[in-house]
Amino acid sequence: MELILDFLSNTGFALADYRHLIMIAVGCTFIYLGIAKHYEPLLLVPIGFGILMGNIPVFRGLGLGIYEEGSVLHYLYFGVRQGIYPPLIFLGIGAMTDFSTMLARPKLMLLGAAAQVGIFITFLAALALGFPANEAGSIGIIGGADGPTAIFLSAKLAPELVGPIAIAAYSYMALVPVIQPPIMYLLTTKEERLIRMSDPRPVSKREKIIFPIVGFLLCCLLAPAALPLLGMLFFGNLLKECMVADRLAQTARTALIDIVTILLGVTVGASTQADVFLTAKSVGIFCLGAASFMVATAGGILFAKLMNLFSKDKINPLLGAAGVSAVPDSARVVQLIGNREDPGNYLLMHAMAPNISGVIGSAIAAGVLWSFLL
Amino acid sequence: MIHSEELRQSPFLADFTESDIAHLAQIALPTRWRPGEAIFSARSPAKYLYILKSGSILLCFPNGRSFVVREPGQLLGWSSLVSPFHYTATGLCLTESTLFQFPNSELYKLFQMDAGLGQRVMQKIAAIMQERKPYRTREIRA
Amino acid sequence: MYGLSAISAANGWLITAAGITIVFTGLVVLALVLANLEKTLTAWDRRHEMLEKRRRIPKAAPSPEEMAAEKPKAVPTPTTPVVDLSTEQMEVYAYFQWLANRQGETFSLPRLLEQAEKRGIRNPYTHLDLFLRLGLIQELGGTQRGFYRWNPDVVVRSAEEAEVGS
Repeated sequence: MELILDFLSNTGFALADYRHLIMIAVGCTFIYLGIAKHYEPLLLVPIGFGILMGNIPVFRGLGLGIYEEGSVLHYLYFGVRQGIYPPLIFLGIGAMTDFSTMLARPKLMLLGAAAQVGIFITFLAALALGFPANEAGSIGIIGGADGPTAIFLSAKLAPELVGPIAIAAYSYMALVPVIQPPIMYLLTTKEERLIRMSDPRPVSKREKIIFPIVGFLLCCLLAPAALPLLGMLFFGNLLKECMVADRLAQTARTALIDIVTILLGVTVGASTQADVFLTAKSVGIFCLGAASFMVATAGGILFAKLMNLFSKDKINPLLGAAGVSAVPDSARVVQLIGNREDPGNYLLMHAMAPNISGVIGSAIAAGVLWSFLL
Repeated sequence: MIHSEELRQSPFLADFTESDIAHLAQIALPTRWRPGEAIFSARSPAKYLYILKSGSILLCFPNGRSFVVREPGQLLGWSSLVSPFHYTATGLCLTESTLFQFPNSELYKLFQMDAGLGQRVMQKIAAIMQERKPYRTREIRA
Repeated sequence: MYGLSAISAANGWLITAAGITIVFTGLVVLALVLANLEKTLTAWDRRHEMLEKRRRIPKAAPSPEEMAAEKPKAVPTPTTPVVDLSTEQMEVYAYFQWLANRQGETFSLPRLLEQAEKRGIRNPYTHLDLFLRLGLIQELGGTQRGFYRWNPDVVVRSAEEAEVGS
């Protein structure tokens, strides 16, 4: 009898408190959003299930929890703590992304740079709210709208915040279609939204092959701390474009990125144990993260309007919203809004240019913050 | 996945490169439909683009207009790539038909990998939209 | 520490200014390089050609046959003054005419099919396709595009009539 009572007192039912239930509800919401609403399902489903896994209350000392030395989840979480998974994801992104729209119209890259203002403004806001500098930097990077970059930087600067920052970053990435449109409408006039972009020039294969090498050298010589992320991004792109390593490119953009996404999603989800996650600091991170995302969107749009003041070849300012990374969702939102105003206006391909340069810009910003704040 | 040779016959893809067609063939699925079946319905979420391989499809617009697509290689379901991503017509199968189905999620992935292909597809769709515009007008017939 | 003093204490202003400058510099330099990459490559190619003095092979003009093949072929307009239909087809044809006339001289095909389905007419879809292909039903033009009428120029007769006639 005593044995049974002992067993019962060690079950999850007995050990759970309201915080675990809240987190389990959050996990279920993520899974629901992924499956029913198709919001970033490849990320939200693993993260959602990871949240469920991380919030089954377990008896400490059994070596089950993600924060317990020697547990399976702890080993898998190593890739997050040491910043191994994000560069591998960047390798896959590089191997699946065509940079030709950016090569065809390089001035659109400035929109990707402008959107990174959100990172730094949020960094300042977090400092002003009393967050230590390393945590403020990690929170600011949420505005880069790039999950792997946010995880990479927070793993380096504030490892204890990886869970909330990753959840915030991926939540806002999934909510791009909800967060961005009101800002886009607010900051643009109907006439501006109707601007049609001229067709980009064709880009030769040789340019596409040279770009990852030149891009890597320029960016990493300027911000060496961005090397793990940008190195892998450009390397993946070189594999894709060089045509002689197609098998490697194929693996990087399919099997490898899928495996790493599963491991990253589940472990990040599992790292949100109720006792670590449900704190006032997490609420602050979520609020600042949302602000960061909105400021980044606004930054890109306003910069596009500024460019239009000095340029004959007008840019549709909606493209600025794609300057936040979130590839390719923010580009799709630009297409959707532009298309709603003028069904014959196709902005998707043009939006991919700031979108991709936003990935490069946020990785540089992460490198800069890392080197300043470490 | 289908053989790229099957897609090459489509006039819609006439000026596409071999590699474009090979990429599209990788994500295409052959689907078969019987007379009377609705391939897609007007105002429902548009998730697939179709290319007709054989058969006849009647495109019925909610305003009562319609036209028949029976030339192999013609494109149906362009709404899958254009806002608001809801079909503007119902595709009714008139005779036994085979269509190649392209999920829009896969198409977007493909466009991410090859922006030029995306540009070419979008331009083609623009032309088709223009062509079919009279059918979407709300003008009531006499 | 909170507010502006917290920002100053953590060198926030300096980090922000440096960060934004570095991000912009990186992307601006990259954009400049990319903007000139095509020109550089073209210049490089020309120099190579000049040095090697390779003879340029002009692209052969397309032959008249090729040009002819590229021209869209004119679709011949089928003229089908008399159409022979089987008994079953005749029956469906009569039903269709009756149903279409309820809509008026011009009619909508989806509505016609809907009515035909309701009344249990045999294979309405394949029959409609047949009538369209035979030119018995004609699409209208102009603002009436997408609506149809019976083709008054086509004579329809049953297969039996055709046999007697021949």
